Amino acid sequence: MRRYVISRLLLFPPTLVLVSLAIFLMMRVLPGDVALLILGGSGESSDPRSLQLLQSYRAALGLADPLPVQYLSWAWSMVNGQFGGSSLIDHEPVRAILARRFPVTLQLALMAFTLGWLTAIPLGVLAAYYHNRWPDYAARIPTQIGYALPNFWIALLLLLFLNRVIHWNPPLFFSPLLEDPLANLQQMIWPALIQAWAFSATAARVTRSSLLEVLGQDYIRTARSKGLSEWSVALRHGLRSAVIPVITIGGTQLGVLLGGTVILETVFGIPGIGQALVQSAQMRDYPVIQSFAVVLVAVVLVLNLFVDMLYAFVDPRVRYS
Amino acid sequence: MPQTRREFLGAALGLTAIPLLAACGAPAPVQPAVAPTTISAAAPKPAAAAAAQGAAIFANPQPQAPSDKPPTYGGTLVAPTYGDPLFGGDTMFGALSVTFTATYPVNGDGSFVKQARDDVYKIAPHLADSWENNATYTEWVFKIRDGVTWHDGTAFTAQDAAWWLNLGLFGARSGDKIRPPAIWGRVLGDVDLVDTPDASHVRIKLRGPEPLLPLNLATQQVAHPRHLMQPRIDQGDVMVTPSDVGWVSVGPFKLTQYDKGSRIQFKRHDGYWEKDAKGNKLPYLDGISMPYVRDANAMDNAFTGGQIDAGIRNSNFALSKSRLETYRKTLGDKFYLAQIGFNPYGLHFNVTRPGPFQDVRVRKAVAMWIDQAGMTEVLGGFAQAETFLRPTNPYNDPEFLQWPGWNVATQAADRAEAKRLLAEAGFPTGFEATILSQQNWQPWAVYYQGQLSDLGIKANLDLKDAGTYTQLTATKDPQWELKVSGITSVTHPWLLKDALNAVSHGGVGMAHDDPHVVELFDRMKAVLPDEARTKAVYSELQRYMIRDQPYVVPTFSQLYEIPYRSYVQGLYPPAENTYHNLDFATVWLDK
Repeated sequence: MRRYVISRLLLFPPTLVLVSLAIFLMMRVLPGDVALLILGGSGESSDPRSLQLLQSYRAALGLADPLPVQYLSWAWSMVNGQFGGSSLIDHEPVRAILARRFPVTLQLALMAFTLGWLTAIPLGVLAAYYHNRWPDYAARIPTQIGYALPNFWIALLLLLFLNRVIHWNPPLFFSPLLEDPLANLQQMIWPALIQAWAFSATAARVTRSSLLEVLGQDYIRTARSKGLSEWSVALRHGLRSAVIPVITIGGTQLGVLLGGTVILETVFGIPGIGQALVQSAQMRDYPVIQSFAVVLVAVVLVLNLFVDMLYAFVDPRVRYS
Repeated sequence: MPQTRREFLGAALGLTAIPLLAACGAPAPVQPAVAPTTISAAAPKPAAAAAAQGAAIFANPQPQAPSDKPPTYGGTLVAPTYGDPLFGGDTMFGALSVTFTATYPVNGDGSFVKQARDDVYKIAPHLADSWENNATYTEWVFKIRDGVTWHDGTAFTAQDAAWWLNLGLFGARSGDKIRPPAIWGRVLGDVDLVDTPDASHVRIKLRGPEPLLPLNLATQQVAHPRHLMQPRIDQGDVMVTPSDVGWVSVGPFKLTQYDKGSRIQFKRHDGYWEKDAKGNKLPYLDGISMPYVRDANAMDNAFTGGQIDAGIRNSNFALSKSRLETYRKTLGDKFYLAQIGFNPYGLHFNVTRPGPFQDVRVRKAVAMWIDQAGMTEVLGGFAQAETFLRPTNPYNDPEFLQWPGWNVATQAADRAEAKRLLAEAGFPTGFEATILSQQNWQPWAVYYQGQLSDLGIKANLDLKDAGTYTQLTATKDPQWELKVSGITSVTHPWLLKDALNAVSHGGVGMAHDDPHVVELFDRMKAVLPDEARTKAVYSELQRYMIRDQPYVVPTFSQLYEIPYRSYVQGLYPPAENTYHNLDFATVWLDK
């Protein structure tokens, strides 16, 4: 196991370098120019003063350098403590943006993940155990709805419900969890619930189908013939084997959640990573996009490794040798 | 009340028969000459169209500012915005509106001069209390007001004013690091020198006449404290921003808290110089809270739920008819609307690229065919007819309302003529074209696509994000055929020269190489600042560029309906320029 983990860890740096290079090149291939956007789009007219101004903005933003110089300069800033340099749009250090936004997204992701997990497993087990009976059908209703309805629609309905029926609105501005836990939860719980619903809809269905398959195996029949209770058979013997696909789904979903959700952040006014990414992409704020992308890829790499290790922990038959 | 099915049927038939009988006997109703409810009450009313202007599109209380009640001090206004100010709040660099919203309370609304609070088309003193110019408009001298202080208590001097202007016009240098000039630097004209002839005056010398210099100074903000920024520049930090030095500025409010990504809070600048007509110190408010609201539905809930006192002055947030109905049902008369005109959008032609649109007959056919007023519904129900200037602008010439394509009374004939022109140009069955548009202007693009389709032109949409769109349009060799674009909102026709002039080639407007447009602007420059003669040239320009050529088909433009709670008093909603009077210096709360 140790050798496996070390070999996976050793693959991280080249993966990140390749990813960063790919993102850097993609951003440069895309049309668009942050200097032009700052100037309001009139920089390349035949008015020589406009052109001169555009060129001086590009120079001031470091965009006049050759591409290899730009890449190396940024890559060096990723490892020398500057962490990607500063935003071209508002000069804020990328690490400060990340330090401010990532914890918000992390909190939201963990809340959604936990709530989703806590709902998905019991629902999936219930549906599988009572296969084609009313608990199964009852469990399918929320999962189908969670599957079918888009997040933004549920968010708007929820806001309307809170406003018109409860006569209450979530707080308008974000309060960090440690500063004002109540206000924080009042704002974060709604997007977390919406995300959890979508996540649990997938996870519950996977749990159900996976458990159904396992419950038909010979060793389950053996467990039953030993006289074990049905719940013991289902949970100890069945679920443990069935949970591996659910873990895979969970790892993937957590990665997605950590990437931020633009729509829910927008509707609920949450200053997470999704909005920053979209704004940076629209504004061609290269240092922010590149640095964020590398961080998110690193997070996904770590998550994948963790999920792989979890397989072995959950199912002793899985060995990495 | 009918008690049985038979009685009900009888009553229903009777009620149906009454209006039918009445209609048979009554004289036929007079049809309006043009469709009602498509032109705002704010639009000019030429004789032929006046009868059909219709009432104001909504029947809600109109803006209540300025109030008759005596203002009271205190309270915090909750006026949301939709995001962090970009570029560190540096108005020298930001071309994006989100930057400006939060900068007005802290920097004030204007620089040496400002657009008058009650009339956006007039210039009023601001940080300078008087000014004069030489006969050739090549030298301007501004007397800087006494008693103005930065938020940290430091006196604002003529040296500060000149330093700010020099920074904007010429940038800065420290070693090999260069700060570019401000994006507004070139609009002030060909400035040769800015200096301080004495301790209270700033002098601007130009290489050529600039009769409208104050007009351009009025929309800038002094946001750069010399005593805090110059040391940073000397240390090599040439791109230092107001945010880097704590947003110390000269506006009526100073920054107290900035939670990035979430909200900004201001409190009264006790040293602010401005006073009301009775000599009371401004501002009245204790503070302003600007939470970020990024979604129109969230704004609606927050406004009707009492969390915010004002709406957001942005097209994504301005009320549509259906949303306004909800407001009225929920709040009754506990709110009012500020009605603000904004940039009209239009379908722009590229006549520098070979193709059908180089034929003036094709362009005229498109202009005559497109239903201008039909855009009103696309815009949520509030729109007005305009070309390059707002209907409230004193230079506006409403003559265009009588032109083919604009006059609803002649629409059928105009459309027949459009078909004929297209056939005469060699396209009796139409042709295929592409409309370039930003993604967020998709409603306009789809509308134009539908209109062109009815004419026989199969228009494909090419929707791009802002970055790509800007790159494709801001070029000397534009390849697009048709383009959806805003027409820059300006208060004086001379300020259109960059957007409409042949040499500007896209970016914001149409693409053409027409020397006559250059000549018209030269003629306008020669008669500045004479209002009557300027207006005459502008009318000719409008006629030439929109009716005779045309290079653009402007469609009805959105009227922003911005809600304010009734207790928000002392607000001066501008006729145009959504960012005017956003310093909230005269606002008070009648709670």
